Amino acid sequence: MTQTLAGYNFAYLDEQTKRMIRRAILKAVAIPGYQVPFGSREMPLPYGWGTGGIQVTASIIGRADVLKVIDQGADDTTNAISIRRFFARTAGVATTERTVEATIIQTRHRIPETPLRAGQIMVYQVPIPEPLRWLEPRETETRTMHALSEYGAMHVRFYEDIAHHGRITTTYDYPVIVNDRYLMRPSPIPKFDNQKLDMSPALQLFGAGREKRIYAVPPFTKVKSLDFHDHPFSVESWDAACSLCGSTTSYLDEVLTDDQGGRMFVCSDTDYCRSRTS
Amino acid sequence: MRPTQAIEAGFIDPVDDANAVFRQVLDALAHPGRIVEIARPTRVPRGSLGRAAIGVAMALADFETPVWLDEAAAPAASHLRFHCNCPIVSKPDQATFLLAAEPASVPALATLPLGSDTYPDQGATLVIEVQALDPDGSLSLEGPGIDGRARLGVAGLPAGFWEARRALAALFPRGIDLLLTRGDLLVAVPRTSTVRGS
Repeated sequence: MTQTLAGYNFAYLDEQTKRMIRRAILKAVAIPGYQVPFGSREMPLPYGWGTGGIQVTASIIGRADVLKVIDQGADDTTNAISIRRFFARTAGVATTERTVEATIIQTRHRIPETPLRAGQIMVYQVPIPEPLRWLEPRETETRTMHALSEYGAMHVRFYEDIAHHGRITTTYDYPVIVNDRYLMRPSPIPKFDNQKLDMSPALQLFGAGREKRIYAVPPFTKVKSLDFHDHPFSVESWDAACSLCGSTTSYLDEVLTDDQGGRMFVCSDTDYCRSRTS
Repeated sequence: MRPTQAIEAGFIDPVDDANAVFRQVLDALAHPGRIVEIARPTRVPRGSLGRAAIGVAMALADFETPVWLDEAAAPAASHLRFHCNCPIVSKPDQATFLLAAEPASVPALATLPLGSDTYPDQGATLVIEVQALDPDGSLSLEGPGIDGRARLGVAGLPAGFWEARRALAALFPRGIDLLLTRGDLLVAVPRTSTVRGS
């Protein structure tokens, strides 16, 4: 499995593609939250399997990197395993399931519970990068709205949520304002994770393959979840603790254990949970 | 017979060297004011650009990115054209990357490509070879990527340079991203950094 494939460039992508993506990444870091268009390539995985994240990872990864890939917090799900194996085969890099050992963490829809450190790079797989897309389908219009910082439509949507349901009903992919300027989709992470985006010491890169956009949140950058003074942002909480490690502070998955209504709550972050039990 | 303008070797390992340079530039841009060292390529062409500046061009420029060189950097043109395949342009407002070996020759910042409000990523990257970089100088930087405040000293920039850059702040998200180099050293000052002092 650690045998690298012959006939491919290091990390699969050709050098010209990497250069183009690297330039997009650098501009994304220079303009936090702004979506930089890039020439997304066909990858040996279908769109929706993290091709944006994979292209970002392929463009930044070097031989000395240690890669971790998670899918909904777990290292051992199909998507995570196949992406980790992809880079083990095409780049021959070391992989890990430990958050603390990783230099690059590619993720689908979670941020690890273990606090990130300076020098680590998070790579998020993004299905829909445009936060205003369901409010305004035209790219020309949403682009202008970003240029003018015109985000009233999103506030109206939240207001209508509160008028209808008494609360903001968005629970994942909860929109944020980056560096007091750009409205950004944090990818479909639970809103529980939004607080980890703010002032993180790690560099955070977002890749959307099908939609051909790259954006970034540099370290120590203000990331504020959208809310109202009288309806402040709040995150999920549970009455239960993790059945395996007893954590009361991590994001919990509800697992049905039989057809009699039996259920248990366990940490979504498998590495965090394991590190507390072993 | 030797050609009159021999071209120096490029990256020894095009894959690993380009990646190493890019990661250093990414680290610098993600931490404005942090001085990083770029140790590749091993050889640089004639002219006054140091290894960091040449490395940036070799790692990031290609046929899609017009490059502008000031007069002191011009001897590197054939080197870059050969290794990067990049068009060398004479008008600074047409360039994606601008490389200046003589800080005084940098055109007025407001005349450079700043991108548009809808496509601010089209703002240029300006690389200037300065006389010295000092991690503990008189400039104070704040903004994304900086935990609190960073200090930086830059010697050799013309008077009024930082004032001209400050004037661009009102145009954000339009702007210029600065890479200041000195030999093997590089420091990034992206458009989001607020720079005080001079």
